[in-house]
This record gives sequence, structure tokens and C-alpha cells, in this order.
Amino acid sequence: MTTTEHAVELAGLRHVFAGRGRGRRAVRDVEAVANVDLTVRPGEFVSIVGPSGCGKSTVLKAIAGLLRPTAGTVRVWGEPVTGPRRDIGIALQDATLLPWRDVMFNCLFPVELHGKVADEDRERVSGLLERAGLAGFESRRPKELSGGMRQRVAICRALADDPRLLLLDEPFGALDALTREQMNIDLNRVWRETGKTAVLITHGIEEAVLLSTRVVILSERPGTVVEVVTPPFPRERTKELMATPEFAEVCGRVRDRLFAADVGVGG
Amino acid sequence: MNRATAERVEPRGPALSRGTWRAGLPARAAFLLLPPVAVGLAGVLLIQLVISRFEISGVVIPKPTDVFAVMRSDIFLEQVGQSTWETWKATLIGFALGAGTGVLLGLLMAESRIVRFVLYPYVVAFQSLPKIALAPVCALWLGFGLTMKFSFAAMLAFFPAVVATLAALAAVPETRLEMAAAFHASRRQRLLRISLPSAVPGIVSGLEISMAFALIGAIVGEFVAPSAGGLGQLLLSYSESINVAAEFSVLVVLMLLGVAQNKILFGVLRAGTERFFESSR
Repeated sequence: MTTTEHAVELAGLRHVFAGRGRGRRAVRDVEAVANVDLTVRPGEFVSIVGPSGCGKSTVLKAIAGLLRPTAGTVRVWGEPVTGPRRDIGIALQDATLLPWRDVMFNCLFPVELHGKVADEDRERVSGLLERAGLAGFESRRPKELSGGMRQRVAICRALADDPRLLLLDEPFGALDALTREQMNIDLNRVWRETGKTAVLITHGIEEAVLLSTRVVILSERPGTVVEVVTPPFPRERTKELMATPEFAEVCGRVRDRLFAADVGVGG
Repeated sequence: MNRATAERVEPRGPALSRGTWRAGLPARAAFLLLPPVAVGLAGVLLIQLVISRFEISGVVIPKPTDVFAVMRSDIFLEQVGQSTWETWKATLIGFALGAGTGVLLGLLMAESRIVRFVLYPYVVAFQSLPKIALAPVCALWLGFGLTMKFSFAAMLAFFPAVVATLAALAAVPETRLEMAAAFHASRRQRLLRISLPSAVPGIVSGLEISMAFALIGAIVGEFVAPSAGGLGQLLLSYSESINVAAEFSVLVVLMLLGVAQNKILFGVLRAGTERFFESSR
């Protein structure tokens, strides 16, 4: 059975944010996600792209157990999700590092929530920080880091407790294009070397194509899966890859589907 | 390993390590003290000159030199030493009681909506009550001694601590709480490792106000209680004998006491929060 076990399994996922109030001031119910079916196999890197407000983050929060969907089932490693799980590592849009802790202790935060911090945990985090290009910054405070470095710390923190599944919600959204590209290459390396399963929410088409083994395109709100594109590249992704016509072709396909999805629902 | 232990020595704590009490060399401290001391001396000098020039009576405003002379006299030093300790004792006990329950209640109200909903109106109602109006009842229940004095100090110290704690905990960034939830933190872990450390700067400013208020409370207690002793009674007795220079001397001592206890509070809090941050990680 374990061979066929999916890392993530979403079936008929639907979520409605309840409105409030009555009369003219009422806030209506908003259907964020209409019907999402999706499976992520172990070791995959799946990106979810879609127009702004299509419920991408809602999908991720449902997987993380931070939100109970209105309908549908969410399974992680075959088990129904009822709340946050220990074996999920998550990095959100905002790095949210704790200002009174240094880089090392920020990364160890999830570890110590789940028990005593052992030497091997420190070693693992040191290794992660090194792979993320943060060697020598272990004792720095978040204040002393750049935005890109903070995001990298957040990703190391997500990986610190050795989770089986990594969830990323637009972790590079606030960075400039150049830094972002470098971060993507770094993230690809970390993913390859740790062998994790990853789900990334993004609105960057190039980013999605560069990082993913599969790109899931969602429609405009309420979000449903419009198409799944499989970039035909090896697991190691490089800057050079981005310059190839094949890369541009895949990006173009994703972009076309995204815009079609946009118009299809809006018109 | 070496790095980890070396780095544990560093002072920790959000706003606490910033500005207010950064540890510095004595020479640096002296340099920083120079401007305020210079301005103070210039002010005193100006008052002295104005009083001499316009020949203002010592009963209205005593000359700074007269005040200084009183403050150096043995009899004043003896009286003021004993009284200061009496006042400060009441202030400290009152601060510990009032601010302690205040922080605790603020914590409870921040954590439980029901507790907040039920108790907050009463906290505000109690605060709107002029504490001096409670003097007759307090005297009836507690007598005119130390108990009454520290009760007054506690009553005044209570409210700023409640409000500051409540506000500081309500202002903890939502993203930090969500992050903690995503990593499967228990309620206790969230409170100890996220909420409280985030709230420390806010709570500390509340405690600062509480401590100043506690001193006011102790003096008020001494004013209403004829046998209470302390700086309040000393001030009253000088007032009765129209010894204005001595009255001003007591005021100077009160100010110095206020500044000193503020410094001590911060020193203790810094040591305490450092330990707290060590244990909460």
C-alpha cells in the first residue's frame, strides 16, 4: 500500500468564507475554492498558479490544517487532515522570524515545540543554513538580515524538523526579480538534496515552471483546476535553462491557459 | 557548540536591549549624563539669581542654596533617611501587589474572551473612582499604618499594568500566531514563546507607569494617615512649621527616589527577561 500512498490528496475541495452582517452593510459569502482535485506524489515539486484571489492560499492552508474546508477531503500521507501536523514544514509570504532569536534559534523553533533540541538537530539546521548560503549567519538577529536572507531562514525553519512535506506560500513574493531568481535556484538545490515533497503557491509563471515537476493552473475565483502542465526538464534546474526556447514554450503554455481561465470565467 | 554557548551570554529581549538600558562603560555613562545635569544646574542657578534679584521671600520660594543647606544638615539627613525607607517600602510592596495582579489579570483577560467581557467594565469602573475618596474606608479597615499605605500604592499601580498587558498581548502580530499554529504549537507554547516575548516591551512601559503611580499612592496614603510616617508625613510636619526650604528638600528627595526606583526596576527587569528569554527557547 505504501508504494501508492500520495503525499497530498485533495478531493472535491470547496471553501466558502462566511459573510457577516445584514442589509446594506452586509458582507456576502465568498466562495474561494469551488472544486479542487489534486494529488501530489512523494518527491514531487508541485506549484499552484492562478490569478489573484483564486483561492491558492486557501488550498495551501487546507493542506496545512490551518483551515477546515467547507466541503471535500484533504489527506496528507493517506491520513485525513484535522489540524496542523508535525511532519509538515511551512513558509509563508511573510518570513515571520522572531526578532529576539538569532538565525539558529529561529530555525530550531519548530524542533523545540516538538521536544528537546538535540545536537543532531543543530547539525541538521547548520547543514540547511549552509545549503541556503547562510553559513556564518547563525548568531545574527533577523534585524541584521536582508529580506532575501530572512526568507531563506524561513525556508530553513520550515525544513528544520525534517518534515516530509514542505508547503510554501509565495515565499519570494516580496523580493526583487534578481534575488528571486537566485532564491529559486537555491530552493531547487535544497529540494533535490533533501528529497522532500513540496507544494508552492506562486503567481510567478517562470518561478513555477523553473521549480516544479508539475504546474497546476487554477481558474479565477472560485478556483478550480484548469490544467496541469508538466515541465519536461530534469530535476536539476539552472539559470541557463531559463534562456532555452523549451523553457519559454512551457511558460507560454501556462500563460495562455491562465489568461484563458481568466476570460472564461469573467466573460 | 562553542558558538551556541558564547552567544547565550548576549542580552536578549526585544525593545529591552534597545536604547534605554544598553550597558555601557562608566565613562560613556558619565558623558551621557553630562547634558541633563548641566541643564539642571543652569536651571537651579537661574532660580537662585531670580530670587536674589527680586528679593522674593524664602517663605514663598526658598533659595536653592537654602534648600541645599537643609539637605546637608545632619538632622534632615537623619529624618529623611528613615522616612524615605518607610515610603519606599510601602511603594515596593504596593507595586509588587498591584502591578503583579494587574499583569496577571491582563494576561487572563487577553487569553479568555469571557473573563475580559465580564471583568473589564469593573476594572474601568474601579479606575474611574478617585482613590483618595477611599481614604476614610481604608482607614477604617486597615488602620493608619503600612498596610493602608501599600494598599493605596497597589490600587494606583494596578490599572496601568492591566491595560498595558492587555494591549500588548492584543497587539501581537497575527502572522506570528499563525506561524506558531502552523508548526503545531500548543496553547501554552504559543503564550510562552510567542505572545509573552512579543508583549514584553509593552508590558514594561506599563510597569514603568505603575511604579511611578505606586509612589504617588504611598504618599497619598501618608497624607491621609497622621501616624503613617514616611516622606508624606515629613512633608506635612515641615509645612506646619512653615519650613519651606525643608519642604522643597523633601520634594527633591522624592524626585531622586522616583528616578532611582525607575532605574532599579529596569535593571531587575532586564535580568529577569534575559532569563525568561533563555528559558523560553
